[in-house]
Amino acid sequence: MSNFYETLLIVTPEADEEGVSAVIGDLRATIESDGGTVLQARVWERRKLAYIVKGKTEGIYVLIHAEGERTLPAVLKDRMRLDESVIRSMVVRLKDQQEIDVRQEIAERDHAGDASAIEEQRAAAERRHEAEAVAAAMSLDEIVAAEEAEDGPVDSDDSDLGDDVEVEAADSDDSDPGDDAEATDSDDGDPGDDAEAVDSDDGDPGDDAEAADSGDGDPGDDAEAADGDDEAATTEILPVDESEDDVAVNPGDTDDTIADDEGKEG
Amino acid sequence: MPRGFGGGRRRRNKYLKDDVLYIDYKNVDLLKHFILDRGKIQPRRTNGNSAKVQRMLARAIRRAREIALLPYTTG
Repeated sequence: MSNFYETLLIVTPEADEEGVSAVIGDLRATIESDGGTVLQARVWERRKLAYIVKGKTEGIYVLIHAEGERTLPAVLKDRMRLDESVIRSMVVRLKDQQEIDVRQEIAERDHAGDASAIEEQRAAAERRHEAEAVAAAMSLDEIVAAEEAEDGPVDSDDSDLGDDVEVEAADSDDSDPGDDAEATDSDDGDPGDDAEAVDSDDGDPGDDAEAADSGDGDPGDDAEAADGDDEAATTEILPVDESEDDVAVNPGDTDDTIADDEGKEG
Repeated sequence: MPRGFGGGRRRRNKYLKDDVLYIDYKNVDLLKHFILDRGKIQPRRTNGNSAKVQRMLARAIRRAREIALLPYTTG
């Protein structure tokens, strides 16, 4: 059974474009000679290293996705160890949802190379938006008819707005695949997440209480000076919090945790 | 909510939901929220992560360290 592997390696910053593509070409050949298939091999980004590796403070990160047998990681590592322009490398097996997501991302990336494909997707998205706008003004059975007519051929899972947004998000952050996680996060409207980021949406008084809590110079917070996020969170939440002030006083469903917290502080 | 002595305040985590399926070690901007100034992995007691999420997170951070995306230690 073949597995899906992700290889991330650091090429010495002195390497020019040719040098990097030579490394990529070499690894492609290595993977193929081991019976694997390369799905994607590209420069991820050039970035500063978190610590010095082989005397370098910077490196060119190369990302390779490949399918192969379980011998592949060892073969790849051996090969990269011999190449002096590779200063660090790691091979990781991806599975389950992550594998699915990465495969999809690769597919989208391949599509993106084709300008007409991009245009097509954009046009399709626009058509859907228009259909929605029109649908808002129509009666229910007309909506159904319109969706069958307009949406059907373009997108089988009709009127799933969440889906569209996800695709767009994935498309836009080309440079950092990791960003996806966050983008998707905010998309799918998980109440837990939203509650804190976009309070105004659900108007959960419990959360407001928390925002107010962190804003009003709570001693517990100050003690946590080491934690840099806190301030950012406060600035983020505060404006929303102010506008929601009247809603905030609802003893009905105050968050347990918060209530508890305040009780102990008070 | 356990507060113990002197420890950081526990709060709900606003970056990761409990039902995330995986955490990508390349997502440095996300992981940065979960390491302390010195580069240590933030304990679960302060960030409120579920055990499962914390395991995934710790693994991602360790992978990121291995490939010089995150520091093992700072300062």
